[in-house]
Amino acid sequence: MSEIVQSKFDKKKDAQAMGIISKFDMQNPSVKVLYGLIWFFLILAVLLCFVPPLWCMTSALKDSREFFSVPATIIPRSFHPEKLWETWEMLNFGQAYINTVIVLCGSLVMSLVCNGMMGYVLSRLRPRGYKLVLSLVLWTLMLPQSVSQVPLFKNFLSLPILGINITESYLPMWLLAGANAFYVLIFKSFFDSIPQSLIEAARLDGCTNLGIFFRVMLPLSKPVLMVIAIFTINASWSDFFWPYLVLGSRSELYTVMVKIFYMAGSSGYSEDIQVVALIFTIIPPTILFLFFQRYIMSGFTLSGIKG
Amino acid sequence: MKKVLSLVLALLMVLALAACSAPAESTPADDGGAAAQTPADDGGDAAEEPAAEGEPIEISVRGLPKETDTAGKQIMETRLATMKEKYPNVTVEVVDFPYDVNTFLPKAASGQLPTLYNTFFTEANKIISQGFALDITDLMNEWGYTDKVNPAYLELISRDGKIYGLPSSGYALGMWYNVEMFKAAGLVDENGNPTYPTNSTELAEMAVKIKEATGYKAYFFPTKNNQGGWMFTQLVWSFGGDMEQYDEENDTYTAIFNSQEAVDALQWLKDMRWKYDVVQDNILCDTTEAHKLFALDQIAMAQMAQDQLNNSVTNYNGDITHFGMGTIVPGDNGKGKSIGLLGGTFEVIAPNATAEQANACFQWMELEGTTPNLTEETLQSFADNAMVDQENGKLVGVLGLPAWTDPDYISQRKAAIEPYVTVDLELYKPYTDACENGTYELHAEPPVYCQEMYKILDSCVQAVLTDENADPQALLDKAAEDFQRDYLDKYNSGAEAQ
Amino acid sequence: MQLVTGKKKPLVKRFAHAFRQDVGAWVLMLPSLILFIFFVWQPLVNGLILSLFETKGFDPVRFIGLQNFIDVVQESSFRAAVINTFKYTLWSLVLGFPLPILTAVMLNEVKRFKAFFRFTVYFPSIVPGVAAAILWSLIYHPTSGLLNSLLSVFGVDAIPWLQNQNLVIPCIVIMMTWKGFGSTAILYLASLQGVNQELYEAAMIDGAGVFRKFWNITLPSISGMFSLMLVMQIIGVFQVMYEPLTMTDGGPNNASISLMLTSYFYGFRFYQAGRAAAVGTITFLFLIGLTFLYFYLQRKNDN
Repeated sequence: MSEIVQSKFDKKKDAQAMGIISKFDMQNPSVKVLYGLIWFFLILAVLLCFVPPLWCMTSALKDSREFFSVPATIIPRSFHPEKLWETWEMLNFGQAYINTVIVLCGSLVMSLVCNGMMGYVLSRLRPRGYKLVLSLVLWTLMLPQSVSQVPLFKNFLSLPILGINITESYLPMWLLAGANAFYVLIFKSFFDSIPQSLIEAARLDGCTNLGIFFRVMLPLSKPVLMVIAIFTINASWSDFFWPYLVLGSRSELYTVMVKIFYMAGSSGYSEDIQVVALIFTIIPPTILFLFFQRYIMSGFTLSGIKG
Repeated sequence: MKKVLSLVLALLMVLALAACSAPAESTPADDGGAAAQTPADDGGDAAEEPAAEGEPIEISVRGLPKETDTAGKQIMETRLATMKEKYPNVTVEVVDFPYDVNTFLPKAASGQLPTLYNTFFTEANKIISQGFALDITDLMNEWGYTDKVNPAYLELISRDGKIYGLPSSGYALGMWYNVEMFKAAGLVDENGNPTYPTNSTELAEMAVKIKEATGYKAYFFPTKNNQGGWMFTQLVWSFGGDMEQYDEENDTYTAIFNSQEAVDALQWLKDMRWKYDVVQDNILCDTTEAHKLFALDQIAMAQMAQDQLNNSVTNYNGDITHFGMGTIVPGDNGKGKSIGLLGGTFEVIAPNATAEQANACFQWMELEGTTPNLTEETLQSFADNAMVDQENGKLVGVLGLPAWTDPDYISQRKAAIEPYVTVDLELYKPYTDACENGTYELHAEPPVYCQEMYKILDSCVQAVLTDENADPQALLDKAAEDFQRDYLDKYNSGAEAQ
Repeated sequence: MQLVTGKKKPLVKRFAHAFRQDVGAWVLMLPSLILFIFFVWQPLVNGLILSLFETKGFDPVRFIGLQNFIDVVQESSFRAAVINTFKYTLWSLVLGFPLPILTAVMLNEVKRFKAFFRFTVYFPSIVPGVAAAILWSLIYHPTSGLLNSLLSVFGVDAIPWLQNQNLVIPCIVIMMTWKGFGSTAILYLASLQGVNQELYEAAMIDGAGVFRKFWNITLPSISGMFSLMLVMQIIGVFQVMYEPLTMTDGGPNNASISLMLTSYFYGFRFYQAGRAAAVGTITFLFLIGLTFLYFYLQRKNDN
């Protein structure tokens, strides 16, 4: 078990050798072909992932006539980047961005703290009765959303016990982020994979439960925290249904996705404007991911967790 | 075993929890029902003695202009100021409330409806039966509207002698034409005016000519969001058929949209797609697609209401002068007739509004010009609205089928908007004349489970437009049978009062 | 665990100790638990109860037993919805289950531009669901779509992708897979990177080839995730709703209608909350079956 602790600090070794194909294998010509195939498929994947949105974006910057012409031009004849600013101004996206960031931050805190603690308890502390909670959480994964939508909405209108109306605020989204069965299970199975011996060792050193959580578990949990953080950010960025229902007619509170949904809906904006607006929904998480990516990956390589 | 046990325990726990909260859940429901009733009952008293001066009343109303609509915003501000001046105790908040089928219910159930909102006649059944509309019979009488509203419309929103809304705009479906495309195909008379088709076969042949001349498939038919069924109903009528048959003796309804006339209609639609090949390429769409195609001069004919192509202008930069309108063409099966489907919008007051709020809504509507009363302000607001519409390039000058029938009202309204007319009214004459002189037979939508029927018919329409081997008779037989069994039989037996 | 260590202590002390530990653990779990109870479980059960009532708006007005269920099942589009839902699930398993695993393994192998590739595959997951559906509707568009524009370059006749009753479900599943496979691949990748490098080294000394290493080391190391991912995917796809709603509205001729879309139509188009809840409950029952399957697989795995 000491290798695990040791290898945690042995970054070089981890960074160098990864995966099935070693330098030695590469001497085999058929493995070389295989490696070539891997490259081929990955490049294909790159194309498939990037081309659709790219095509839409270039289409969006065509002038309206060309955008709607039949058959569509694959390589655009006209290019109007100013449509970007015009749309931004026209729809007041700045405010929507600020709103979305507020929703996002609250959801992030709730998601990591609440789900993380529950995952930890279910994985490590296992108080009597935890099985009940665990099976309920497992069941929760199977719940069709629409069965509970209505009563849930009613709970937001009048919080159970407290009786407070929390619609027309971001609280519902924050609270929902704190109860995500999938995240709890990911946390749990991650904590499950941390060797018991590490905990035993810490306990022998006189660590309390809380101490173990903060000194042993938390530092080891960087990768899982990052993954959940990204999931949460992604989910709350994309979420439109609850903000849409909950924020009602308070248009100054609208998030980006609510704006987009209103645009695509009956209020009627031309499709090329809609696609321009789609660009605004894609760019921020992309930048964010580019930032996070380094953290995640260093999280992966730094972590002392093995299988 | 243990796992099963813990599962059962878990289930019991949740059930217990739910049981605790379930009664609490239903109480507000009952309250809601009562609340919806009370103001209605009080409505009469309040109408007799209007709200005391100075007692603050807050209402929220639909109709927030788009962020891009500067002219509209300006007018709204002036209107709010006038309201403040006239009724200082009333605070009006204008909100963005486009009636949206998909989110209406959660909003309504949670009391998030604005005090005053509007919706389409097609939604009347659901909204009234679910208790989302205040009974405004007394207010209607007190303000003297009841007699001025087109009775055909009034009937659509009345139940058991009570009125649940104020019809504010109306239309009879007509046929929109893209005049430019008609000209391009040489479909003009000696004066250069477009010649509109007079029956379904002629329409098909003209569509073919237009396709040959312009390269675009000329005929539009929606298939999504219940609009396929909606337009198909219109089609069946113009082929001489009907949808539901009412048997007065037994008080029962029968689905009859598998009659020969209905099959003729569906067969015609199928021919339009496969024999003439003149139906738009993108089949799975609703009328929004037609707004776009009209703006792009890529479609030449579609059944629509008279105000619908304004969307072509506002959303797709279309040119309103390219369009014209006639009546729906009769089917060419020997039984066809000139007949138009009746529709429009009506104003609704939220069920939880107090009598004072409801009254304030009427005051607002009066100011806005959404009522049949003609005052200085109403006429001014007609002119204002027409001016804004003109500025935005919308259709001004075609009234279609007003919700209010007083001839004096109509002529004054026409006079008020006259300076702002944006189109060549000749191009709309076949439609406006037919509406005004009564030669256009008008039908309200089928009375029972209309939207459900449309949904089923959507599928039939989609089938003939996407599948060359679809059999219209078989499709309609099955649809009629399903609709009869799933809805009408239950309705007839009274198991489910709608 | 506690029992093993506790055995040496006197009974009372052992009990008090265990109790103290339990209370601490429950307190730690409390915030999340409260949220789960009031924002997940209680609404769900209330929803199930709603399916037994005649409704007005969203409120129950009269208990009618199983009448909602009978009405719903008799409805002609219900059969189509059930069959289609299974079609969605099947197609998504064929397309969507192996793809993330393969992608993760390939990502793990590639020696250069790792970060770039990782970013690319994850990129579609970043695109919000509503945006992705709108985007792909444009790609499948019968006249101005990317696919048919490309086909016309090669002189192939346009294919009415979403309008073809047989193609519509695969087309929607392709869009869902496009959107979803990246994030699942990253999860697998996280697990793959946790594989002890020494195992590979040891296998190499034993003379194992690439394929044997893959089969004996790589696959087993992530197979623990298979059952969870499989169940998650089935559950996710079984509830497919927004994609057909946005792209086809369930058409053509109900060829892409799903159970949850049916429920949505009842609830939000026809204002029949009771029937909507009934369809939701039926879906729920299907999924409970799957839950048991998951437990079964888990137990088999544990043994």
